[in-house]
Amino acid sequence: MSDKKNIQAELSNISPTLAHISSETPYVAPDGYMEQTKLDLLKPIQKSDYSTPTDYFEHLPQQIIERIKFSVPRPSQKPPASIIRMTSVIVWTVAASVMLIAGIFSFMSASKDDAVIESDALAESNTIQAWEGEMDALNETEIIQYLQENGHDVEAALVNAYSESDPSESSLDVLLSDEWMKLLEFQSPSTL
Amino acid sequence: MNMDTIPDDQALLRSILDGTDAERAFTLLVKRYQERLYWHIRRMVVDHESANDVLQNAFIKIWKNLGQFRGESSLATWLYRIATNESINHLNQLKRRMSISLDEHVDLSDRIKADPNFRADRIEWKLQLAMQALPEKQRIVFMLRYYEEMPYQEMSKVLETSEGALKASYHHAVKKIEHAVLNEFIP
Repeated sequence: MSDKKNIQAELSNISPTLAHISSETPYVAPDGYMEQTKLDLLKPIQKSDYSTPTDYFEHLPQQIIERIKFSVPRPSQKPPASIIRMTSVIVWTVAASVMLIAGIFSFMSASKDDAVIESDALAESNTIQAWEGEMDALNETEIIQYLQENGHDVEAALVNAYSESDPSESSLDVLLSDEWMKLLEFQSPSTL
Repeated sequence: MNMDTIPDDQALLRSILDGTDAERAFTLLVKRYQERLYWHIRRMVVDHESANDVLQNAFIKIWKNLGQFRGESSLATWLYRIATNESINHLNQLKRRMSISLDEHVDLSDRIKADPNFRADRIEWKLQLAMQALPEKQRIVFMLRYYEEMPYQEMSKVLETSEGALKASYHHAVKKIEHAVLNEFIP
């Protein structure tokens, strides 16, 4: 079946009404339009009336070649000074940017650490002040009584505290110091 | 090129691209396609003056771009594609002008009714009015199928759309036009 018959059959199938309407276009073109059209259409593409100087096209290729010789740089030539200057500016800009960013990160990190330390130190200071207040409130009899009952724990705690506070000092040195000897004598004379 | 026998499209194309008697070969090409393209454009833009402008622009574009024609479709398909695109461009420009200028209100159905040969009781004119109410893509598909009797395969190259989508578009277009014509539901 030809395309035309196929198309007609398809249309009859979808809409028998339209299949019976003439497919003639009701528009009319002006008389003689088609004959005139091809003349109008060719006007823009016909050769122009401009002229060129005598022998212009004969000399043109040589002129173009000469211009190419002078304007295109040879591969061995150094890059232009403007490119060197631009490269230098780019390198310095990148280096300065890296240093600036590193500085900002370093400053932010240091600020954060300082804030944590200050906060810890303040908490510790408050604890010590509270402890010192409590100690001041105790009289000598109460302290002696406490040490007699909990002397071993206090001794162990003090040894640990000294060894942690100064790693260069040995625990034996601490134990042999005068202060410790007095403390131990005072605390438990019967055990020595 | 031997002009005594009727050269086919390929021979005309070769003559134009070779530059051997290009002007004469292009004249033959224009003669061969001008009427088909004119009516295709005229149905899209409706009035003769617009159709004339679009047709001339289309042929100038064809002349300038013949070197880019790769022969992947027939020359006729390529010409229809350019003519269709030029018509769509013209209609888009018209829409832009309408939206910019409040004084100017141009409707294609008004243009149809303004045609000196227009007769509201004739079914052919009702069909034209119903067509103008279709979405642009459906309208073009309907025109290419109904008036140009173009196979879907060729139409898919003109409109760069799948054959399945074109069949669906045509089916919808026919149904809408039938409904409009039977029910006098025409703009």
